[in-house]
Amino acid sequence: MMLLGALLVSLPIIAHLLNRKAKRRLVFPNIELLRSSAASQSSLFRLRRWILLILRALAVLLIVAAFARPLWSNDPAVAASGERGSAVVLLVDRSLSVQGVSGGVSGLSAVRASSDQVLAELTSGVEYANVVYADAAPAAALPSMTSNLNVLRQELEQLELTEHRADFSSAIARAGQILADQSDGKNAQLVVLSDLQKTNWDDVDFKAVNAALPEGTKVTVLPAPAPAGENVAISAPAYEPAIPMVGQATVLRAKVTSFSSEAREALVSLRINDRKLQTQTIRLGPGQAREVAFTHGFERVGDHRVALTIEDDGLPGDNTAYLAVRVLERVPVVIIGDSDPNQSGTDTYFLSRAVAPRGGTLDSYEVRYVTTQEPIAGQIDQAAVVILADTKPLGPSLLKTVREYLSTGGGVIQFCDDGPVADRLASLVGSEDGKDLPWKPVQMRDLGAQGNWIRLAEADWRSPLLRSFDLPSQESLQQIAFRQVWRVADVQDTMRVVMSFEDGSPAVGRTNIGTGSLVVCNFSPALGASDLGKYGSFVALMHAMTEALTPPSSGGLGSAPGTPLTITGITGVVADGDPPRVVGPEGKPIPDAVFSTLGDTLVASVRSAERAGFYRVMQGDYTRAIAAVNVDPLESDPARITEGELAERFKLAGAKAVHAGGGTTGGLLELRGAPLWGWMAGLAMLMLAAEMFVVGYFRR
Amino acid sequence: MPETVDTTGANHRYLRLQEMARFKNVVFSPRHMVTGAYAGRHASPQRGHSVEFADYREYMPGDEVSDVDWKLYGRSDKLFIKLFEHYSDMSVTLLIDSSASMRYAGVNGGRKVSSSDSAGGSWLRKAASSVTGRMKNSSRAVLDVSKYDLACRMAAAIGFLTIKQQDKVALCIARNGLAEYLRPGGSISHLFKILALMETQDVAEKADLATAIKELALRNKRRGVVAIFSDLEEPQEPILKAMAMLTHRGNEVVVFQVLHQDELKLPDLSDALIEDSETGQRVRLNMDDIREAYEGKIRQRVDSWSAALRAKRIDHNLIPTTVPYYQALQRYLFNRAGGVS
Repeated sequence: MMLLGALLVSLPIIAHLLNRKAKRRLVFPNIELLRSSAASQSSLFRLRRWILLILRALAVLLIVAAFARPLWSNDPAVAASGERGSAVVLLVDRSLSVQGVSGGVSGLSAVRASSDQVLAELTSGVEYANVVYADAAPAAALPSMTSNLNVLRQELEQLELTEHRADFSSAIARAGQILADQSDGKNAQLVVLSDLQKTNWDDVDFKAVNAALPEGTKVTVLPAPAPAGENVAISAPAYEPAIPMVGQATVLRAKVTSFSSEAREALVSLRINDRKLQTQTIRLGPGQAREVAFTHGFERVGDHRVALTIEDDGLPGDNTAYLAVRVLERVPVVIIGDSDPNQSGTDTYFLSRAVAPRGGTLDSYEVRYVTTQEPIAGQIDQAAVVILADTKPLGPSLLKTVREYLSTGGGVIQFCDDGPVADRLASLVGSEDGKDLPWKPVQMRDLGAQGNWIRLAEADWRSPLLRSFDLPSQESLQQIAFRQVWRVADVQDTMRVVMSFEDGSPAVGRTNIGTGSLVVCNFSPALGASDLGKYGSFVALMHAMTEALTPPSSGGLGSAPGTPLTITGITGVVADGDPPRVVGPEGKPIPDAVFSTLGDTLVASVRSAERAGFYRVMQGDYTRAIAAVNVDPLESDPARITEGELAERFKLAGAKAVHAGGGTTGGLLELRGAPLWGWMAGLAMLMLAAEMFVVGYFRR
Repeated sequence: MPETVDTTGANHRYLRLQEMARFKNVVFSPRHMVTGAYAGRHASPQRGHSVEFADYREYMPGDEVSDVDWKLYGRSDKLFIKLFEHYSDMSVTLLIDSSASMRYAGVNGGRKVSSSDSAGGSWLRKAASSVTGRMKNSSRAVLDVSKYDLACRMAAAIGFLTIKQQDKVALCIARNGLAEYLRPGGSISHLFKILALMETQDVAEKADLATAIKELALRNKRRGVVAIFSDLEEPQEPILKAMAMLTHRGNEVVVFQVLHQDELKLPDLSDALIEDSETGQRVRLNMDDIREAYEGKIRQRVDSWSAALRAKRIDHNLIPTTVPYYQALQRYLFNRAGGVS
C-alpha cells in the first residue's frame, strides 16, 4: 500500500511535465519583447516551477507517509516490538472517587472510553494484554495475559466501580508481576487509567513500585476524567459515651466536609434503624469541615443502626456515615483473678464490691469474673475496664485478648500482689526479656510482718484518674494503711506517677500501651495486703479510675470497603437454631462469611466488605450483631494531580520510559514508538501552505 | 480571414459601402498646404493668376516682373507683387505594411469564434473559446481580425473618402522595401484597383519600412499626405530618418500603429511555444510569467514611438484591433478637425 501510495508522488511530477510541455504553438508578431521580458525575470522566478514541484511532491510524499502511520523510537527493543508484539497491562482505577460525575459524564464512562481506546490500538493475536483493577485488593481480570482482546473488551464492558480506596502500590506490584511472569521478554507497557486522585497517589512509594516493574517497562499515564464537582462528604461517625446505656443521652456525631469552592448548605439527616428522626442544616464555607452532632436516648437494649446522611451530590458514595451502636443495660467491668469473689477478704471480693457496691441492677457497672486461664475473647470487647486482681500468669488466649484490648484503646488496671509482678508487666507491655518496663518492681516490702504500714502521701489530684476526688475524699484516701507494697525502680518517662507513698516511692502509675492505658497499683486490695476494702474511698477510687479509663466515645474509621471485616460481640445465638449468616448492606447474605469461635464467643469474618453500610449477623429473623463499614474519607477529596505530575513521580523514582497524556494524533499508546504521522500531516499542510504562498507570491 | 460576399460589385473585402455612410459628412483634408495638378479644395503653396486675390508684398529681386502690380506702382511709386490664393487637389498616399507580423490575428489565427461555433465545435474550438472567453462577444469578431486586415480597412476608408472628395489616392505596399506602388488616381475604378491590390498581397516576410518610405519619398513629386499603416515592429531610428525625408519634402505624414490586442495584453495562455512571425525563431514561454514585464515594455515602446513621431510633428495613432476601424477612423478624423492628434 505504501508503495502504491508513493506512486502518487508521480502525480505532481507528471503535472509538472505536462505543464512544461507547451500546450500550443503560437506565431507571434515579434518575440523580441517577449524574450527581453523573460530575461528580466529573477533566477528565483525562473526556478519557481521546480520549487513548486518539490513542494508538491513533498506534500504528497508526507501525506502518503502519514497514512502509513510511521513511528519513531530510539529504543531498539521498542522498534523491534512491531514483530514480537507488546505486553500491555491496563491498570484500571475503580475506586470510589471514580464514581464522581462531572458535567454529566461519569468517571466510569470516561475510564471505559479510555480503556476502549487503548484496546483499539492493540492488535489481536499480536499484542498481549491483561487488566489489573486498582482497588483495595488489586487483582487481575484474567489469570494470564491474552492476545484475544475481545475477552478483555467483554471484561471491561462489565466493569463496575467499587467503594474501595485504591491501593496503587499493590496494584502496580501485581501488574509488574504479571508483566514479569508473562510478558516473555516482550515490550512491557503499563497503562494507567486513573482519576489521578491526589490522596490515592500520595501514598504510593514510587521507588518500590518501579522496582516491582520489569526492567524497561514503559509507563503510560492517560488523562484523567474530570473530578466530581461540588462534593460534600460526611465521615468519621462516632458516638459518646462509648458504651451507651438505655435512656442515656448519647451524642451521635460525624464530620461534614465541603470540597466545594463555594459556600454550601448541607442538610444532615439522622436515621436510626431506618427511621428518620432528626435533621440539621449546617453552613459550610469553601473547603470547610464541621462537626454535626445529634443527641438521642436509645430506648432499648441491643444493636442499633445509625445512619447520618447528607443530600446527593457529585459523589454519592460518601453521603452516608454508618454507626452500629450497641446499647447495654449496664456497663461491663471485667475482673480477672483466681481468688473467690464471694470469699470475704480476697482481692476479687473487695474489687467486685468496689465496682458494683449495690450488688444488683441499681449499679451502673456489671461485674464479670474471669479466671486467669479462661479464654474470654468476646467478653471484654464491650468492657469499660479490665481489672487484673492478681499477678498469676494469664493463659495464652486470655493474655492475647487482654493485650489486644489494651493496645486498641482499652483500659487495664493491674493490682500487684506478692506474685511475679515483673513477669506480668512484661507480658502486658510485650517485653520478652523483661526490659523496657514502665517501672521495675524491685522488692515486695512486707511491712505488716513487722507490724508496720505505710500510707499514701502525695497524689496528682488533677490527673484524669483522680480529678473527681474532693478534699475529704483525698484525706480519706490518705488514711488507708498499706502493709504489703512493691518498691520500684527505673521509672520510665512514659510512666506517670499518679500517687506516691509516704516514703516517696510510687504507688500508682499510668502509662499508655498502644492506644490504651495501663494503670499499675503497687499494692493489692486483699485483706492481708492493705485496708483498701475497708474504706468507702476505695469505691470512689475504683469508680474514678474506671470512668477515666473508659473510652469517651466509640466509632471512628472502623472497617472500610474492600477490607476484611470481623464482627464480634455476637450474642444470643441459639445453638440448635438456624445457622447464623452475615447479611450485607444490600440485604443479601454474604456467601463467603466465615463463623468461628473464640473461647465461648462467636466471631464472623468477611473476607472483603465490598460496600459501605451495615453488616448484620442474623439467625433466622433475629439480628445478633451489627458492624458498620464506612468509606475511606480520603476518597472524598476531589484534588487531582495531572498526568504530567504522575509521570514525573515515576521518573523521579527511576522509571526511564514514562509517557504522560497519550497522544491525540497517533493514539494513546506508543506501542512501537512515538507516532510521527501527526507531524507528517502537519508538515504536508506546511508544504501546501508554502506552495500556495509561492504561487501567490509569483502571481503578484 | 473572413470572406466577404460581394453580390453587387460595390462591396469589397476591405471596403463595405454601407459602412461608409458613417463618413458622408466627413472631409479628409491635409493640415498643410498641398500641391496638386488640378484645382481643388485644398490650399496650395502655388500662386497664380485668375484666381482669388490674397495679398500684396513688396517686390524682391528674382520675382517675375510680370507679377508686379503696375497700377499700384503708378499710385504709390512702389513695386508690389500681387498675391493670389490657389486651391489644389490633394494626393493621399497609403503605405501599408504587409510584413508577416501584420498577419497576426490572435491565438485563433483569424478564425471568427462565435458561441454557436464553440457549442458544437471541436475541442480545439472549445479551447480557443476558453481563451477568449473573458472577452465580450461584441469584440470577439473584431479580435479575430488581423492587423493587416484592419490596416487595409482603414486605408480603404481613407481612400474612399479621398476619392469621394475628388482627390487622388496612391497605394504603396511595404514588403522588403516598396513592393507595390500604385500611382495616384481619383476615380472609383482606381479605388477598386487599390482594393484589389490590397486583397492580393502576400502578407509575409519583412517590411523594411524605412526603405519603403525612402523609395516612396523619391517617387512622390508633389506634396501631399502620406498615411502609414504599420505595427512599427522595426528599429525606430531608420524609419524616423526615412519619414524625415517625406516631411522635408513638404508631405504630411500620419502614422497609424496597428497592434493586435494580444500584443498589448498577452493572451491568457500559460505555456506556449512562441514563434516569431518574421524570423521564425522560437521560444518556450509561460505568458503568465512575463505578462507584467511584457506589458510594461510594450507600453514603453508605443510611448516611445508616439513621442518620437510627435517630436517630428507627425501624427501617431495607436489602433488596437479591439477597436473597429470606423471608430478608430472617426476618432482620428474628429481629433484632426479639432487640431488634436
